[in-house]
Amino acid sequence: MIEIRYKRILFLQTIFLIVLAYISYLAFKNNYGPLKTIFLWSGSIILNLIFIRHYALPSASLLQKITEADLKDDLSWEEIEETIDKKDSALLRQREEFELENMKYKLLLDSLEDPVCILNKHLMIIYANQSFTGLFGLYDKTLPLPLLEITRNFEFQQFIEDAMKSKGTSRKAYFSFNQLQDSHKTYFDLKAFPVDNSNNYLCLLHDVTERKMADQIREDFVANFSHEVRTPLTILNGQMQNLKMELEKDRLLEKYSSPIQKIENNSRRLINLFNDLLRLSSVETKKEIKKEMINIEQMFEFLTQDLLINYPEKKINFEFDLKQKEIFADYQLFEQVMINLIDNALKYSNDPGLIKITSVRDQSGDHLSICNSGPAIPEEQLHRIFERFYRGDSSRSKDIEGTGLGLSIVKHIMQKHDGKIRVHSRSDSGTTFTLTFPFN
Amino acid sequence: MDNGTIVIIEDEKEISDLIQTQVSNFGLTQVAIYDGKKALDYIQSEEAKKIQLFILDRMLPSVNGLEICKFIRHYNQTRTIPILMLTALSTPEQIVEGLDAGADDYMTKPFDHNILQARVRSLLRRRQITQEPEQDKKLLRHKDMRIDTDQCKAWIGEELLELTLSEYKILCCFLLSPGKVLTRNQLVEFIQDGPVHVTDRTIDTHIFGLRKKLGEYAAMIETIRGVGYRVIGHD
Repeated sequence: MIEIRYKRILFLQTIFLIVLAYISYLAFKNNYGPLKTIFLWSGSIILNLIFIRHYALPSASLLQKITEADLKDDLSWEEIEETIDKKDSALLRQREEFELENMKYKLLLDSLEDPVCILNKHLMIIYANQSFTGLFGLYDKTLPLPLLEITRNFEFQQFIEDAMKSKGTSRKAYFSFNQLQDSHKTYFDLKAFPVDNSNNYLCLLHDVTERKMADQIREDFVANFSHEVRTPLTILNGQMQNLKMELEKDRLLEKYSSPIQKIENNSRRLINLFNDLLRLSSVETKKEIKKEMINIEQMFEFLTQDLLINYPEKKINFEFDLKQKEIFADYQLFEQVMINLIDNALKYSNDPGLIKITSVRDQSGDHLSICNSGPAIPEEQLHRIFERFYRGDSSRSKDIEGTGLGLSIVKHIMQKHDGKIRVHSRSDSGTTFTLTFPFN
Repeated sequence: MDNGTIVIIEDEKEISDLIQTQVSNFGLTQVAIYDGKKALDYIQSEEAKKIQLFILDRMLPSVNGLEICKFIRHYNQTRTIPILMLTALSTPEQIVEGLDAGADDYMTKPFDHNILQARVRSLLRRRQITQEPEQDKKLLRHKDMRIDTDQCKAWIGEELLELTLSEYKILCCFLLSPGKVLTRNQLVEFIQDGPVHVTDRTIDTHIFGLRKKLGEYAAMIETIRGVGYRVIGHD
């Protein structure tokens, strides 16, 4: 009897469980997916929490991938677990890869002799390589630290701020941290540029002390050489002028005018030669040129007037056809090119004569031509006129003054601009020098 | 009567002697100093009150000419005395460096004695202008040209010049400093006013415009390549 009762209860219990299971199924059928997602999110968040100390993992996007691509609503728990395990291993591999990359970059940056630091947008140093650490004594300090506190140099901070404002790469040559207590002054070329798309900036300090010292030695040499040459020339010229005054008082100047004139002319030649040599040396050794937009119309108006004064006996007109009114070049160097070419044109032009100056722009760059109406340069001399001290026979025979360095200076200046200079000379159309300034 | 002194600071005795001969006709006593440190001692002595002009070399023993120039400009007793720098260093950068240190004019060696005398005359004239009472500076003159600084107007003869504000300021600056070389930076500082940013190349454009309006007077503004401008002094 008891057994029959027990069986009945068991049967009712079974029926109840089946009904309950069916009701549960109906109730949770539509919510199974979201529950599964919630479960996975929790799992992944735990995984991310483990790694976040080291890497800022793109957890949201990763979860999206997991939920969208890997898991379907009809996955079993085993399959979900398997997917999580796979992702776990992938993340671990990724972490190892990151650690390896991190080590490689650290080794690379630490092996650099140049100091390197990374700054965030608040001008805090967030990374410094060994060289930077050594330069500013950061050994026992923990980053991040304010840039100004470490370098104590407003100019350096200003340089970084300007770079950040420009959002591009900035450079500064021959920078020196006066605050550093070094036995000798160290000079750096600074370069700051953004790190990828973050607001961080990497600053590289390249030690150029040796180059600066070499430049200093060269500058001192040129200055001393200049002083040593100019001093005797000054005395020579001055005494000659005093002598002339004395001879004039005694009414003897006319008698000695020929030798005095020769001494004065040759003294002037020597000075011009010396000045041209200094100019050529300065162009040759110039490492960087400072380009700017030059209004050539304005420059020609100044130059032609100034240079015409040197040829008062000549009647020469200028004709301008400036279709391109601006040239992008180093102002001083470009002016020197124009002085040399216009002066040459004035020197060799017929009297009366015409000098035509034209400028145009095309795909290859800006072209500027200076054409004089003088006698043609013989074909066999044309390729040699840019050589130092080379002067064509015609210029020697006509006793036209010159050092033979003017066109050589022009050639070097054009080379500094990556430009070209060509010359055409014909007896019927005169001599034309054409300059090409390419677009960079 | 003691009209004052011209101090020649030059280490090469022969060149110093030459300069002394060439500036001997200005009626001023000449003092030659051959060493930088001795020059600084002289500047700080009682004798300095008589100085009318300095002719200064740059490459000097013990203290270089640039430092002496800066000292003269900052030392109360000598800050308004004109300085003519006479040196072998001739690049535009070196010239600008000398002018920025406070020199009024710059000549490179070897020099022509006529030009030296003209520059000295011009600077001595400028020294006179700076010593004139303030009310005399309200009306500036250069030959037939005049500027009334109260009215901010300029005329050539009876003809009123139509100048922009910057051109007017530059012209005033030139007439206040005859014979002085003004670097582009110095002119920028002089005309810079308000939020408009002036660059040294803008100065060239203003001078270009000013010269056109000055007609035959345009030649009074001399261009010094790579450096700036000088108004040729008038006596």
